[in-house]
Amino acid sequence: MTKKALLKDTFREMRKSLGRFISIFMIVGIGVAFFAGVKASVPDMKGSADKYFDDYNLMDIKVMSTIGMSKEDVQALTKVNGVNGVYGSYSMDVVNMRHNQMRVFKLMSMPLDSAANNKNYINQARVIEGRLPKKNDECVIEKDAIRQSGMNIGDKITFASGTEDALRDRLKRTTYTIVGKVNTPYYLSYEKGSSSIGSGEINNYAFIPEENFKGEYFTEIYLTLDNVKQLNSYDDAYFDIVKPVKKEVTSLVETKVADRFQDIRDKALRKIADGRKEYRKQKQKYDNEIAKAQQKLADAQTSLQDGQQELNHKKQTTAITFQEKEAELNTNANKLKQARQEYEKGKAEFAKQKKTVQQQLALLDKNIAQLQAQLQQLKQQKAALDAQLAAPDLSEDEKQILSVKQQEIIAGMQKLQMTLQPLQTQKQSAQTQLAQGEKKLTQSKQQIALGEQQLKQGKIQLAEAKKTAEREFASAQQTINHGKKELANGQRELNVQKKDGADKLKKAKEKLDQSEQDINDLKEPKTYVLDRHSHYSYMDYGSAADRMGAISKVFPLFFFLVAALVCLTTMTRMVDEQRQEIGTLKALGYTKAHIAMKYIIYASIASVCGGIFGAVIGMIIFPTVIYNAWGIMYNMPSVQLQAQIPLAATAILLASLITVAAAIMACYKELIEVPSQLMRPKAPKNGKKILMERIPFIWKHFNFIHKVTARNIFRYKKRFFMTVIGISGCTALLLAGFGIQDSIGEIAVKQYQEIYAFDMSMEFDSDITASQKEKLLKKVQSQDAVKEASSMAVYHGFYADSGEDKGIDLYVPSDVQQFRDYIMLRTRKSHELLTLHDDGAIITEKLAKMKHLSIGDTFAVDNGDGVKRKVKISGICENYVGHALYMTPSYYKKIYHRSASDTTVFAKLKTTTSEVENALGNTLMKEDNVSSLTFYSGIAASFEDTISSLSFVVVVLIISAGLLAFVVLYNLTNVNISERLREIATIKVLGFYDNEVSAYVYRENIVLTFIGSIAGIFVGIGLHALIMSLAELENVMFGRNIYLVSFGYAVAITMLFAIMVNLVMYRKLKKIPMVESLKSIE
Amino acid sequence: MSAYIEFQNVKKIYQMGEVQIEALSGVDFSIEKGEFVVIAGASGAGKSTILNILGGMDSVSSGTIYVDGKEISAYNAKQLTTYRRYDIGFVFQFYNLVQNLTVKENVELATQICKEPLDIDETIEAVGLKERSQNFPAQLSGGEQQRVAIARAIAKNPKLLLCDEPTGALDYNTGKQILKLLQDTCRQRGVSVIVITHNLALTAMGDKVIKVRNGKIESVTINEHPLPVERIEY
Repeated sequence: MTKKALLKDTFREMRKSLGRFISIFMIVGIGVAFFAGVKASVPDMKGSADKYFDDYNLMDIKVMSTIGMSKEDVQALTKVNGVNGVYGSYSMDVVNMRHNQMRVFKLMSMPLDSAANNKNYINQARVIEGRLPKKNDECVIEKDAIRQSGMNIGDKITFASGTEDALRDRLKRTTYTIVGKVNTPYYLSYEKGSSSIGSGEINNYAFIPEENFKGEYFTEIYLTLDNVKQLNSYDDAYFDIVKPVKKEVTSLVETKVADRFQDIRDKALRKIADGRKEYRKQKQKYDNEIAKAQQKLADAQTSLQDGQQELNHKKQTTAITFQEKEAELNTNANKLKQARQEYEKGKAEFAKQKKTVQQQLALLDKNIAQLQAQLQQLKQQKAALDAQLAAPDLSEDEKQILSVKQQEIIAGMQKLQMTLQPLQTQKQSAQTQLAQGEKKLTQSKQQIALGEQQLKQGKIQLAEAKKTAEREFASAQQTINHGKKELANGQRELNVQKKDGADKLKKAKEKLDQSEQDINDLKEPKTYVLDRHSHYSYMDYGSAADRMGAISKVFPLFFFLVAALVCLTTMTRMVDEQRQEIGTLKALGYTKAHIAMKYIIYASIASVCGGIFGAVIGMIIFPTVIYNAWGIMYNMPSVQLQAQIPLAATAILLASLITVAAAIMACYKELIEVPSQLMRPKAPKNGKKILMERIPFIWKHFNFIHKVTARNIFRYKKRFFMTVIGISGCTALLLAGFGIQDSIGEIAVKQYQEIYAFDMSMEFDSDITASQKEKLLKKVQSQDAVKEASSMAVYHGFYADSGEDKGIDLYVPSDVQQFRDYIMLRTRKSHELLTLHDDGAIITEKLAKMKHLSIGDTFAVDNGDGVKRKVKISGICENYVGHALYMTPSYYKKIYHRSASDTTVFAKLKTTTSEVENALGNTLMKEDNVSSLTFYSGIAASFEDTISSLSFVVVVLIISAGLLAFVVLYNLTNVNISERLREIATIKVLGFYDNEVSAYVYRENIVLTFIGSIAGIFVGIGLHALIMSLAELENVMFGRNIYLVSFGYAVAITMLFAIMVNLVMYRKLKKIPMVESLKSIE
Repeated sequence: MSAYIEFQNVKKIYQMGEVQIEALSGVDFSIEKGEFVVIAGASGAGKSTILNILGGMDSVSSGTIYVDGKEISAYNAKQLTTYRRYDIGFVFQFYNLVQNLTVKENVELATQICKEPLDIDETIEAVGLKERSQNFPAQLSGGEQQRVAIARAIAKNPKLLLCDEPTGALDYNTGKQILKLLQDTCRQRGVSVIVITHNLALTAMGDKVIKVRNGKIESVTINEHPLPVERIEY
């Protein structure tokens, strides 16, 4: 271009129309920044990962066999051509209990010579805090960003085997001092694979010095190769080097391992034989002991029976004795009664006799008294005669007469005396007789009283004797009953012991059988020689980067489209404005190419500058942001940005071409016109009736400003599309941003509150008996903090996913109805409840989706005991975290040919504060046979933390959206204003106030913004779905929903951007001089 | 002060970078109500500046202007807008119609914002565009467009009708028709009409002719017998 004047004009033009220049510069900048930035993030991700792999000596090849690797293998491998470093490594899964939380650790060996330049130190640890172990009792643990383990440097950590075997058998020491926290390129993601112990998932890893491992064989051998570090291991060139070495290593290892297999098999069989012997011994002992105990119980039973019999007998005899005695007493009583009757009779008779006797006596007394009176008379007569006789004067005659008289009297007296004598005797005898009868009566009365007394005493004695006997019998019976109860207890205890013993024996036998079976089943050992294609973290991260690549295909296109439209609008306006100048130049004789060159140069300089600016900024910001966003899920060192010149050049070139094409398109129409036409003002674009006018109902209600707005909107189609597309992009980005938060943010709530209704799970030890399970369940149920609890079988099974075993939980609830209270099985979309039936299993949605399973399909699942069966899918349930399979016990039995037994207690708590949970945890962990305890409130909380860190992605999206909206709206307004300068000036002259003027101009912006927002909602829904499906983790299903309020936010923020642009432009509008209206049309 | 419009020593100085350009260097004149005034002068004489200032589109550097007893030279931007809104009707050289509005709507654009507008349809009929009232400006000839502009200005029922080279973009006959319309408006409605032109032939039709030269009033002539438009030749 030698036309200096024209060139000068071009540069002046840039300075003069800086706003326009900047608007092209910016939109191209943004377009290129997005395009180059997002695209660059894929190589940057892979490059950063590869550098990390190289720096920390990630293995190129991993060698394993089912029977381990020997030291000789290591020696042999060192000699293989192309092999650089060789490290025989030990690793095992162990558990660590901390705060009632069991974590499964992958324990890996590391050499004490942990210098980074030790070529045989492979899969090195990247120290984040502290240092690497220097002594054998030191360890480093994973620096765990998300699920904070709460362990610190200086703490001691103790590992356990997580199985019945003692960890001491395999490790020299089980307690280590933590001296550092590390990351390793071997485990990039938080997904560290499955484990056969604990929860079935590896939570953390730790490195300990290799001397601590007791094993004879290495678990695996890691190799690094020569000449690969300078290559990016995500490129094919890397695998070109790896492939031949891998082949050689494979053939070497296969022969070595096969040789060793025979040895091991023999040894194992010997060990089983020993085991059987021991089993038989134990069984014998068990049988003996049971028999002995049974005998003892039988003896006790017999003696108890004897005692009872004796007692019964004694009871009988005693009863007879009592009866006899009672009879005797009765006889005596009868006798007494008779005696008394007789006595009464005698008494009555005697009384009668006495009366008679007394009458006789009275008569006698009367007679006696008469006689005695007669006698007395006689005596007196005699005395008188005596006195007469005694008188001296008495003659003898007289004396004779008197003596005769006396004689007569004496004779009378004698006679009287004689009569009196028997009478008196008679009286005496009657009196005696009476006294005697009385005496006799008294005597018999006394006798009767005595008899009665005796009888009474006899009765009392008998009653007492009875009572005593009864008491004795009762106590005897009690003793016997007690004995019986004891016997029953003994029997029960024996039964329990018998059952437990039988269980244990059965288990031991099963185990022996299983082991033998296993050994017999032992196939020829398998060797695995794996390169990074089989390395989970490598592949996972690679696929994450590739998914990002998929986003980078869609995303930037959008910005390019908007950029093209903005450039086209801007350039069209510029050419329109310079119509006359073009005419003049044409008239002066410049060729079309020369004239067009001005616009092309203008556009190219703006776009190249903008492109370079955008590329530099974009390729720094976007890879960094994207890398860090993925960094939430992967622990990686900081990003390694690469100068991707070809990509930047492509983006800039592409953007410039689009802009230039827009410039050419814009001036082409003008250039084909003849100069004279160009010199004249362009015929104003016709006002046209628009469709809306045909609907008088709407149109009539419009005032003229509405009408102008409506007509303008439909008249300038380019602007319409530019704005609608640009704004829809803005809204879409916002909606996607908020939607990401909605979809991910709700996972925790849905999973841990809606689907998992329980708050705690407690896993039993694997060797627990049924009665112990019962006891533990009761124990949980009896806790104050526990609302309800139930136990069910949960097996940590596996399914095969591209050659690798992935974890899946098999839930086999014994009570299907009750199970519904603990885990909600429902479909995601319609929330239709699913029921477990005996004809199939319900699978979680994410797994179904990943494995393309639908209802009726079958799916091979290992139940965790090495039994792999095909399970029929009968339903697909909503689930967000992890994979699970739900089935009824009978279906489980049908499929796996064994009964499900409960492994886990699920409990709902009344409150889930950490104090309550800690207290409950402490109580329950003291119980025997508890393998692990998990509180879900903690898990939900840590999940929320992870998600909240995603919010800065949303911030990036909002900023991008804002930029987009700003550029588009600024441009639209700018073009509108500059094109309608006269119109605006005119209405100002007509007396419109400033706010009326801006309303006149902005109404169009607002309406277009609104239309764009609405369109953006639809674009946003699609964009959101795309991002969600691309960003999803393997065992987490993100939600797909966007809350209504997010739609509101997206539209509101878009409108806010529009208002902000309008505010900026308001000043410009205000400054438009009214004199413009007087100028002639350019 | 008795005059309807009074310019007293009005100066307008534009600052163009380092250079000061004096567009008006002390202008004095007055206009009576209902007068048809022609302001004439060569390009750059300052006649447009007078119009701008009088129309409230620009402010004075010094001096005072009274319109209907109010000192508009002391108005702020908002007051000026109000002044334009209610007191001024403006007819532009290039019509300045809103392309996206029909004839009727363009008139409505003006009437919607003033207090006592005239009837739109009558106004359109008065300027002879009854049949075209639903047409867009682009479908009209230049003269028709200017008539719309005049209708728009008149419909506001202004105190003052300012016309900036109203015939400048029109052919002879059409220009004459427009001038007739303006003159009739002045006569019939009693509105003061001020026409700016560089065409001295038009001075014959004004009641008062103000000639401007180099930012100064060259002469103010009262025309006792203004000619009707029909008799003017230019």
